[in-house]
Amino acid sequence: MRGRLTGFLLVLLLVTGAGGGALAHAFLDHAAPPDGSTLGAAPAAVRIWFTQELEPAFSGIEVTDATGARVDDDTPVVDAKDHTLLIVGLKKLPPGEYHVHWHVISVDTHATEGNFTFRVGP
Amino acid sequence: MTDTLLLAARALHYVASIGLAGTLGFTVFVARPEALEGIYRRWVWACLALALVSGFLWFLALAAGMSGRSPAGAFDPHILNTVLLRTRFGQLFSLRFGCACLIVLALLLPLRFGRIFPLTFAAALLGSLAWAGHGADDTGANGIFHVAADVTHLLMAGAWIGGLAPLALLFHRAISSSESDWVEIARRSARRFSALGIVAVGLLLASGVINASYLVDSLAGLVGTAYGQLLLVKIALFAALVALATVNREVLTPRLSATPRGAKQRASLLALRSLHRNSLIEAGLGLGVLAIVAVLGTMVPAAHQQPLWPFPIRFNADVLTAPEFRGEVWLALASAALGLGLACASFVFRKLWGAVAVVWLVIIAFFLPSLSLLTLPAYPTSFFQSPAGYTTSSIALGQKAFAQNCASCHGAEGQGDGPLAKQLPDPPADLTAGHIYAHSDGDLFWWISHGIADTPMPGFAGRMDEATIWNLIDFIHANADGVRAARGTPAQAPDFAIQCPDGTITALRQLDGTVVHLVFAGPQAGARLAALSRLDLGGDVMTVIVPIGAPAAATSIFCTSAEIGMAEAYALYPPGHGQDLAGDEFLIDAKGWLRGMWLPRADAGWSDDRTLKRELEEIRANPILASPRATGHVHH
Repeated sequence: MRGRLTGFLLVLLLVTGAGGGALAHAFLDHAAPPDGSTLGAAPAAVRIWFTQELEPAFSGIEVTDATGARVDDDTPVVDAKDHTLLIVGLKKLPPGEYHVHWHVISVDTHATEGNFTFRVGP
Repeated sequence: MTDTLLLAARALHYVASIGLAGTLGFTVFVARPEALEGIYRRWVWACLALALVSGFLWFLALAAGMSGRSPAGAFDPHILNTVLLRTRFGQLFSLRFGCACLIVLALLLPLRFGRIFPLTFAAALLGSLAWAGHGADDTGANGIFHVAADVTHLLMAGAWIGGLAPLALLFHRAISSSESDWVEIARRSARRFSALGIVAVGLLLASGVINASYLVDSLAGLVGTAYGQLLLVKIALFAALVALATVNREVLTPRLSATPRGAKQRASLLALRSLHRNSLIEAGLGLGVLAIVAVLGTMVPAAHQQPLWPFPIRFNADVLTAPEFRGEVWLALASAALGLGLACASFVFRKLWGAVAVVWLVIIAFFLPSLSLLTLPAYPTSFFQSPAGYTTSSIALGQKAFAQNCASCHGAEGQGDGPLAKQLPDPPADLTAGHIYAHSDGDLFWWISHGIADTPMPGFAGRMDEATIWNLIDFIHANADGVRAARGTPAQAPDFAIQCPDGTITALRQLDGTVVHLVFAGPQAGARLAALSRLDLGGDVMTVIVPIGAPAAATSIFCTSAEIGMAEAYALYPPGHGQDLAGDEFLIDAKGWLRGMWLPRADAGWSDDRTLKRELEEIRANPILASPRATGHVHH
């Protein structure tokens, strides 16, 4: 009887206890330039804010142009104050579409990666 | 290969850490029979050895995973150094290794406090696993709470699951021994272990619910994602464990008796055998739980997955507050509660059965239709979150797809009046009507993809890709908002990127607390921009220029947006859709609501600074507390 009651209570609590943040694994929270955005002028850097703190030694961003050539400065850094922010500097970008690939390891050891694009307008 | 190693190492390490702490805890809190001293000691050493070996394998598998090499390749001193010294897991690993060394020392040295020292360090070794799992990412008070729940969960699992092996060993000894003392030892141990178990179950439940709320975050996530379903299996195993423990406590333990002979003695021996068997089964279930824990720890939590809803209906909480339904629904709920209460009471007062039957007949006859208001039809994608982000470009792309695929029936402006509408047996839905706000994005996604049964609405899954359908849904929302905005109702402002002269790049949705004054500037906007550059609207206002056509002079001192679809998306809100926006201005409040607009072709409006400032004052004085429709994080 107690087992059944506990099971019932557990489900009840799980159902009513919904809410709370979506945590664990570092996912892209927001980025500058934003995902899918079009800018009027070339950005100097790509900044990505994650949902979790990162391991700087194993986190990086690569930015490529439409031909696949690298246009970042190849020195991604995690911000000294905000450990959820990963930054990579960019070369002077001509108008065109750019592809951002990020791969990070969060402090809870999980690896995640993702892509997005942005455009620099004419 | 690396993943399998990681999984196996994690699982073994959990088992070993729990076995170690649980056995030491058992000898302190439950029983420590002299005769079992040797075997308990060997068991503790075995657990410790397994913890060390699996800990190293875990470290190696992680180093391999982090560096992208094979486990053998990760033996590179540079990589091992980096992981050990420059990652949080490496630091945790060093601390835990130190802790394991302290356990070895405490076991070897004849310390005065017996098992207290090794137990303390073993508990630290087990509890510190909280920082190696999903709880490690949180910061602040929230993080402390989550980690505290995680530590509690681990320690209680150790106390209960880890204590099963020494308990089974004790029962085994009691069965094989002929001395009646052992029955008494078994009885006392079973009772003490059961008391410990009750505390552990209570705390496991509480901390488990807290953890689940962090990682699952909705019922849909629990039933609709692999993570949630595996968690349900874990909960089922846990329930089975609790049920077995209850049988042990309520049925079997009271039968243990030290009577040397007769029926009681036989019953006692049988109960002892059952207790032994049950504790082994419990240990097996416990291993299953730990294996699931190891897998869950490497999976993407449910809160980050699109949940597939498995049921044809879902709960509709809105009717509980909807003025036209709430009376009826609450009355039905109250009567159902009365019926349930009576049914419970009838267990005690048997004469109530007749009344119960009558009440339930009434409920079924009169209130069932009202209760069914509490449910809505649901589809597998009902709880999907749109990845489109409600941006001007998603709305503009959706508008194109709408014109090509939907306008012929639903009409160019979605009002259900397309050229083909009259030929259809049922009129197409007016997509600007209020009902559009009652459906989740996921419901709309299902209908657009697969059509609506028994209506002429066809499915478009073969003709449009998923991204296009999500864009279409953004357009449908913006279009419906547009009809209301023209009458002065605030609308959720479509998102766009903003670039400022100092090089900062941001997006509207990131500007929580800033009012945006959006100015569509055509080639003739020079004078207006010059006037705006001299105007101080307040520190909480950002003027954003959207150049249309040839950029006007003097834009360089303002923040600007060159986002695709600005003109198309924002043209949905002024009365008379589809006008050229050049010269038009909008005010978006600090929460992202579109609150005001000025169309110079209509009146002098904001060309008088005082009118603009008065409108800003009004927005500041009357904030809308609700956030616009949540679009959720965009995950990749």
